Amino acid sequence: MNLEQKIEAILFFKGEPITRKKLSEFLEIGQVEINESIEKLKESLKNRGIVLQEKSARPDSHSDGENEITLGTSPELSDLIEKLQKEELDKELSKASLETLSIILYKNGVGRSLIDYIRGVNSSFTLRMLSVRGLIEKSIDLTDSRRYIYKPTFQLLSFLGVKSVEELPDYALINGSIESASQNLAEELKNEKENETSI
Amino acid sequence: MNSEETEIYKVKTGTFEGPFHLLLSLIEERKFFINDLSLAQVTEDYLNYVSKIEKQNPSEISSFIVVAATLILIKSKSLLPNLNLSSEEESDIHNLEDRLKLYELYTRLAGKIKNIFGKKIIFAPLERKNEFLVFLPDEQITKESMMTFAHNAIDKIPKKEFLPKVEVKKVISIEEIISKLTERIENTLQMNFKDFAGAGKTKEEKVVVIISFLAMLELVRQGLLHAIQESNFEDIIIKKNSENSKISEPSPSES
Repeated sequence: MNLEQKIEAILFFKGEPITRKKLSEFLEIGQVEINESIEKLKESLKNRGIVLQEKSARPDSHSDGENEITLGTSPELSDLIEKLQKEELDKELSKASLETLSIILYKNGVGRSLIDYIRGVNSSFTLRMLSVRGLIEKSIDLTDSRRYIYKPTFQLLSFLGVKSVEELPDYALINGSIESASQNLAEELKNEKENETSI
Repeated sequence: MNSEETEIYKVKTGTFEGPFHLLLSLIEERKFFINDLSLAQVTEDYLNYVSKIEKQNPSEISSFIVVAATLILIKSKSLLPNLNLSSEEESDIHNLEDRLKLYELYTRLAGKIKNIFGKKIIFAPLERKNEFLVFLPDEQITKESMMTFAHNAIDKIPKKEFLPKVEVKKVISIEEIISKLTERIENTLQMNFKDFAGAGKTKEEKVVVIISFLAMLELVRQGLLHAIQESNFEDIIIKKNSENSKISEPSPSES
């Protein structure tokens, strides 16, 4: 059995997300080889009924060992599987939720202060609601342990029918363009203001 | 306002999520681009809207007001091109434009998200049920240890904190003191402040001195009294101002 098949079997058996690093540790194979096999697996699933989803641990991380992967049903079969679902799915999102989610998604992880800065309003309530719905999760900012970063969950990616944030419409455009430059400027200005007021 | 304008207002006064939402809507309605010219033109509508919601939602208004301040700055500059703005004011204006553009970007992206949300869903595997349930108690679970665990759990329940309550003492009304002072001055031509306000030895007395001083200032402001102090720290002589004998109602204020 090749490595690709082993990984496929493990993902199926676990039925829940696992980090690339854990796979490497469990199979006792180097991360590079594991990553290659994962890419091959994604390729071979292209015309199948299941897909491989990936969620980053940090905003700008590709194939990072801390990233989690999991298997899920193909988004093309959404209607079919939905019929098998017992619970009705809540597909409604308020404007506030949509704004907040789009910021969190396209930045792939962001702190509350930047969300508030972009929206011009206090987002605590909206963030709490989205957390309760399981669409976002909170983790400690590695650069500043006093702050939290809000990230998309697998559930959010699943509802959007994307295997990773990179599949979001215009994702590459947003992250590689002038837009992001102005956003960085906005971040700087905002940080300046925060430093001013804290003095 | 003609009926067409009221129609437009009806549509607009749906709730706006925040100042940027409002501002962007006003600009996009007129098919403008985001620049200081367009911002100046929508300032009036923005302020009208804000004064409307101020009565309904005073608590949520603060973010709107911050933006209003910058808009007024922009409008002023457009009306008075020679107006010199400080560098801080200039940067506030640029800041608003940049932030609005940033907000517009994410609003567009939010629209894209809305289009794909819940349409083609990736489902995770269902949880598998075990064939049969087995209860396997740990060695650690004994009658005694269960009691300890239960006690620990109960201890960890947060206790309700009772905040100490203090009764609010009756305040001295400045209106009362103003009335007292006007009454006395009506009957005498002049008096010393010390006689009126008291010695001010205890804490309560000190409060009376302060309120009396404020009352005296108010009546001087109204033109009813003259207050004269010969030199520093001397007593103040209060004289009735005979030029103006009308006494107006003290303005409502409590101290």
